[in-house]
Amino acid sequence: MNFYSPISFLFLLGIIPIILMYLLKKKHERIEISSTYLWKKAIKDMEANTPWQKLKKNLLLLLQILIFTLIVLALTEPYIISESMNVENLIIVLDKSTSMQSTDIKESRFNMAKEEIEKIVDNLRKESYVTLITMGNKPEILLNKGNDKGLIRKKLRNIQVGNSSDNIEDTLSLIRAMTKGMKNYRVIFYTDKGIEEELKNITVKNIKKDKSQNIAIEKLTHAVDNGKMSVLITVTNYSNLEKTGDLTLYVDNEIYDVKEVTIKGKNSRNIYFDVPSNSGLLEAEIDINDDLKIDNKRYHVIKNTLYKKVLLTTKGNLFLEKAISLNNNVELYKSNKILEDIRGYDLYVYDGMIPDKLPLDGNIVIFDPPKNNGIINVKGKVMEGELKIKEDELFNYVDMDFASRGMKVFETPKWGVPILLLNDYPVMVKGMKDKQKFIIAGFDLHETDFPLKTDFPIFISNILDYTLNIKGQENIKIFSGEEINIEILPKTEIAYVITPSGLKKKIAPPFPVAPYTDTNETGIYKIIQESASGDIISYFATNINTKQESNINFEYTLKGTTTELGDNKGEVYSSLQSLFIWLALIFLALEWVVYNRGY
Amino acid sequence: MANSKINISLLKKLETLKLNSNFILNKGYSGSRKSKAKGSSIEFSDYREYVPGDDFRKIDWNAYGRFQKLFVKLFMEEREASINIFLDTSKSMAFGSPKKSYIALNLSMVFAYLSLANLDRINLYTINNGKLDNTGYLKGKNMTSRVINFLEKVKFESREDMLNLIPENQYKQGISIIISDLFSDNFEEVIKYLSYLKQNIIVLQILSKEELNPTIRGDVKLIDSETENEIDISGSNSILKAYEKNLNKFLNNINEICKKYGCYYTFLSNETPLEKIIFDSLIKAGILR
Repeated sequence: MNFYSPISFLFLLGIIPIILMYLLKKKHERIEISSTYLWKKAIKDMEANTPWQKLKKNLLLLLQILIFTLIVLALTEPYIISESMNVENLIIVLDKSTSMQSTDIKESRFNMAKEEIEKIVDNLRKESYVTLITMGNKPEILLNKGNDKGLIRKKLRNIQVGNSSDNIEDTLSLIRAMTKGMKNYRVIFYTDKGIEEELKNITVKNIKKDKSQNIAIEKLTHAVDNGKMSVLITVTNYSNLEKTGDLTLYVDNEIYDVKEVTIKGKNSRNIYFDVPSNSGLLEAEIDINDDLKIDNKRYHVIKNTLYKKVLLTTKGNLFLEKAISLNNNVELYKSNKILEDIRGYDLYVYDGMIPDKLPLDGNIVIFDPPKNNGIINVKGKVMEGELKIKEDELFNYVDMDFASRGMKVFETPKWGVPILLLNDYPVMVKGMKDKQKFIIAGFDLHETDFPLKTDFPIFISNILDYTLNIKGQENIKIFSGEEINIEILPKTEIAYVITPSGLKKKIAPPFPVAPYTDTNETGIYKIIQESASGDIISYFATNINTKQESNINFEYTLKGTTTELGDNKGEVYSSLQSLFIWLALIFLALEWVVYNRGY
Repeated sequence: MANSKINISLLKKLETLKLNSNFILNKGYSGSRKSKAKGSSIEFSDYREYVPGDDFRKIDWNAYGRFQKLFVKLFMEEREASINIFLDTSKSMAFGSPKKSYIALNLSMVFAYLSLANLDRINLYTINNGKLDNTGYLKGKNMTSRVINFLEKVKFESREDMLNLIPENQYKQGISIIISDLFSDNFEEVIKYLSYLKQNIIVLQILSKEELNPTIRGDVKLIDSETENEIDISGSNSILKAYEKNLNKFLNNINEICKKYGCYYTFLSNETPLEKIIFDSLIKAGILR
């Protein structure tokens, strides 16, 4: 037997005054009689016949103490683990998703559930085996068929509530798989969500309270329009009451703006902010006291590599055009004639033509330069020969084995190095001229079968990578607990992730990099890729899945047949409170009889 | 103490009564008590054949005339009886309404008066300062006033068990009358002792209504008037039943003992009027006639 409120045992002190009252009252009426000769015999006789006679003298006191004790016991809300929990295999599922952090029950729903599970474990039969499963965004078996109570308790205590969403579907299918062919089992599911599926022998313990209060920032996003950046924040009030609080926007870790927001119950509001167009990291926080704090903050990373503008000047090269536009970070502009005096592009690609004066603000890639171009000296055309490939990042994962109808050979310029040679004449040169990166290739793509090969897009990607410094972190937005693929650049030697709380975690080597899973903490994660050419930094943001987790008050109906099947009859606890109240009443009646009959 | 006063007017009604004579009396001075021994009183008892040596004055000549044989007339020998009246003056006797002591005192007086009137010797014992006190042997009707004086001074205050004290003395063969509530475990001892001393024993047990039918309710502390022992009682049906059972056992036990030693025993309630006791109960019990 266990007690929900053992503190009520303090009331037992009330027995003392009852006894004291008895002792005081026990001053019997004194009657002088002729002789106690016969009385002594009578008492002796009674005691001989009924050994409890001595007690009988205080029967009323005993009854009163008993009644009082029963009432106190009722106050302590005693319960026992119900018989149906005493099965051979007990599968306990604990929801550790975000909403379980809600503080509407005791310390939190999660702690409450843990406490209850611990009580079940305490009352477990020796021959019962416990399987402990936690449910985050995927189910996790912490303990399979253990019956060492100490171990179970230890495992249980070590469970931390997460920031992830739940995955009831996967959890149920895991349970279904586990219990296949298993006899004599029971599943207790501790969650604050509804389980609408049909499952045998399941008891769903809903850890939730009505009318919980929660405010969540559901959306934090940005838009660029005409070079101006604006931020949209959606705040949702999941409670019934109107709430007012300050909404703070942080830009690049500094307070940028605060607005007071009032949201009606069960309503959402969109709030807009204008932010500088070079903003990188956004954080929004709503300062309203509620039962679930973690979703009062939201983070957003504005793609740190803004779209790179590439100008392709060609009389028509579909291959090049397609290969360049494959890169999502590139905004491709085309021109089929030479544009003089242009600027504003990150990269200029010239195919078969070249302006008199090359732009000075972007890197430059030239295919098939004409003679007398003023940038590189074309010595002639070699029709055939042996291609010699120097080791270079441009050729990573690229096989330069292609057929060609001839290539222009160059004289090696001072600023560059040849990376591809035909019969020892440079046909491809790469280099840094002042602050501009140059790649010049002496072949017309149309005169080769290179674009038809799978290596071609890689080759172009390598070129863009080199010339645009593209930081290829595609995915910058995940929900807490989900895994993220971190895109490591080929040249990266060591890669780290710095968590929002400042922990530096090495993720590479080894290569290839495994998906990063330690994303429970919400906030902005920094990825650092160290390479010989400097560190490349990117970010991703981890947020709560507010759609699933923030509506801590949500109502649902148990549509599943779990309850209707009668399988759910096994309440985990049987409260003994009413039993004790009844017993107290019965004894009270008994006392009345005793008092009246004068036994 | 009106209750315990002696009812002198009673004495006038006692003229017709006598103690039953079926008691073996001691060989003492001749008195007016008929003895089982044949003697020289005027009261005829029987005939027997003359044997030489008999007092020929007692030969019934009329019988000789009729039967041609010498018969001697036998006469009842009337002897004085030695009567010990043990009046229990312990405090427990001073309870009841009327007090048991009232009955006891008057019965003592009745027996003393009847005995004195019958030319018996009486000795009245009471308890005084933890010892048996007695009047000494008194004889003759004129001693009645002394008895009355003695009885009037008696106080029922003793804390001693009279039955404990009786065996301390020697008594002449005769009649012993015990008037008490007999709340003692020594009763059998006393009867045994008195029987050994060839006493004819009359036991008059007086109990009050409260003792016969107690009506205690609730939690009370009962205090023994003599020993001042205290016992806590929760007045309940079961204890009253146990009391009743023990009372019956107690009375039966006394009855048994009396039968065993051939005593006359009468149980008296303090509620029975004194005259009814004397003229009804005691006569029915064969103590008076």
